[in-house]
Amino acid sequence: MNARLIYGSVLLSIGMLAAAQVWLSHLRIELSQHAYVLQQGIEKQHDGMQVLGLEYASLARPNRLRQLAHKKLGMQAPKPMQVLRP
Amino acid sequence: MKNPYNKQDIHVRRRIELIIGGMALGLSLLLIRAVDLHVLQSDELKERASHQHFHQYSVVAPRGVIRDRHGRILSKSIEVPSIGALVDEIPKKDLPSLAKALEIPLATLKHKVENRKGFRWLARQVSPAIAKHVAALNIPGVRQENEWRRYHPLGPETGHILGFVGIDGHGLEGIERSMDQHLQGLPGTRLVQRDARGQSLPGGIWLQEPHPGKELTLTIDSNIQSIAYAALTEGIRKQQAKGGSVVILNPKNGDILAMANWPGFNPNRFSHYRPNQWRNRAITDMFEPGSTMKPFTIASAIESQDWQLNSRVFCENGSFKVADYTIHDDHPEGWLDLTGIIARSSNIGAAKIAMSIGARKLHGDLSSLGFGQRTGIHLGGESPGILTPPEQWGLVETANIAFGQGIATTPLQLAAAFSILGNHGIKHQPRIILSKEPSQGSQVLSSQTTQAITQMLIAATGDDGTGKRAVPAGYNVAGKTGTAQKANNHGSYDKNKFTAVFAGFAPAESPEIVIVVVIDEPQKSIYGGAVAAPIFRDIAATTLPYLGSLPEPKDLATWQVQHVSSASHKTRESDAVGHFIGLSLRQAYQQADQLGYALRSHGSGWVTRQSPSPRATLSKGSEIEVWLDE
Repeated sequence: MNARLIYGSVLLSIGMLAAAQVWLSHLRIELSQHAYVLQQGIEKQHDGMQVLGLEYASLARPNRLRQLAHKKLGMQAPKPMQVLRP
Repeated sequence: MKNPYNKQDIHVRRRIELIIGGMALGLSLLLIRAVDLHVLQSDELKERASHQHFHQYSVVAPRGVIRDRHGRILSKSIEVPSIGALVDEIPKKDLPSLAKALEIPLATLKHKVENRKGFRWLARQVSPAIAKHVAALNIPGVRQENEWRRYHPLGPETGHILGFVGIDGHGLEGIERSMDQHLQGLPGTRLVQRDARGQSLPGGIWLQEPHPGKELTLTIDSNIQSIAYAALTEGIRKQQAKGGSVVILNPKNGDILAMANWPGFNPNRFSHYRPNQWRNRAITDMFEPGSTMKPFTIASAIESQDWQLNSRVFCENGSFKVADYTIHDDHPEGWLDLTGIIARSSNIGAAKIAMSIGARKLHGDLSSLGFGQRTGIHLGGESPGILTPPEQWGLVETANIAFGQGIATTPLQLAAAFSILGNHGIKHQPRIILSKEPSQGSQVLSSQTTQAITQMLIAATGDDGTGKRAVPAGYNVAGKTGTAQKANNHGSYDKNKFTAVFAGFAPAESPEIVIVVVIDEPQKSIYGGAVAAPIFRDIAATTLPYLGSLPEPKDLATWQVQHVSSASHKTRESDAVGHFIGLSLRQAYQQADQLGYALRSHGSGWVTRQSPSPRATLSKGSEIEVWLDE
């Protein structure tokens, strides 16, 4: 009787460990895929930042600012005598 | 009598022996095969298994960013999609829809894929929209790869300096080419595991991390570059000239603050321009400097100690014969001192001085000033100019070189030479790569000589000088005009083609910038004083305040007659209150007074905000509030 119980317990433990192993394996793959998706997201955001940085540089180029200041605000480049010593 | 059982036993035994022998042979073969697989073919098989389970691919690293001296981005790479395919796997029926998605003619696509095998690019560096359309088609064999594309946000303004990068990621012109090794990134290799279907599993390891190219900071100031490009373009438009260049240097360290050429080209679409439009004329094109050479002739004379500041030369009333060659002056003069020769731009005076000091002395001094040699700037295609050996100088050649004929220079060389005059005789090598280490200068002219030349150059831009149009209000400019006939293909001068030049530095007392303006074949006027000097003035007038060098008011009347821009006037006519934004405090008070309003101001500098708004209506005597910001 005792021997049967011991064998049964051992077999059950082995079964449970095997099931846990399978579950952990699936969890690992799932987490790995999630991490991969996050990594991809980070890279995408990083790429987006690069593009935005370039777009900022393009929008803030001096020639464009000068034209906008002239057309939208009626501004002109200051003449030397319009610049005052503080 | 024979024993039949004994015979049967023998048969059974033989069969058993045969079976055992067969099994032994089989086991032996298996053993041999096992040894073959595990020992002899082990390495090769392991490698094949690794190929099946792992996939390794290379990742191209981006080129380094190029920035101006204030950190503004001048050139940067970003990832863009490219469409490639294993062309033999594409079904023929899908070609029309693929061509439509790629926005290329079907014939072009067929030419790329038909009767070919393996991987081929179908369209490189396409827009994300095109890549999305192609992906939606899900055509077998077609795939998207990401590549790095170079963008230059300032476009034509920096086109000649930066150059451009080819589709394979290598610099082909300008800084992109000359600093290609520095800017190139180091590609990386990544290893990923594959599943049974051959698809990559998440994760993976870097066998070699990709390293982006190193950043590069230029001495260029993008604001000054933009100012120079705009002024040059406007000047050339007014003169209907063929082309031109502007170089702006800091004389104290040789930093190139701007280098603009016209016609420009957009490096983002370089293939739309002809190759001769790609060249950086400021370093590749030579021209005869004309009268801008005279200050160096006079400097050489003073350095020889044979000539004093008050020495006088008879200028032959405008016509002087050297051997069988006659030299003319545009402004016939009698006796002139050295300052007069510069201010009145006398060819005869300069020629007589050069002949007196001799070819060797003049050649030596011009060489030490950098003429006839490349400056060594980090840009390809630089011309050394032309300065022939003194052995080839006869009297005529010596006389001609004294006033800038028979010698050729680039705009950058001329700017570097004027930097010496503006920096107490200390020569700095022009540089376009910003360095933390201070530039090592060398004394090539004495400080006394350069001070004397500076005073002469100030006289040359005075009311009686040829360069008076180069002077912005509130500053002194030391500079010299130049007008030179262009040489033609027959070895003589073209009577109708000229180069107009102005070279100088400002403020004359403590130079912040050296500016050289060269205009090629102007049509409205041929003279440097009329063509190039106003461009110099426009650049100096905007750049000097930007650099913190403020004008000194010379007379109050000039201040009183300053008007706000015509654009501001137009706005005021249509507005009830008026547009105060952009005005100085003085102008804001003037405008408020004219319109009959009281003004309350906050801060100093320029009006950035006003209340009420320009379109609001106010009764006379009401108060307008303005906020100024430095």
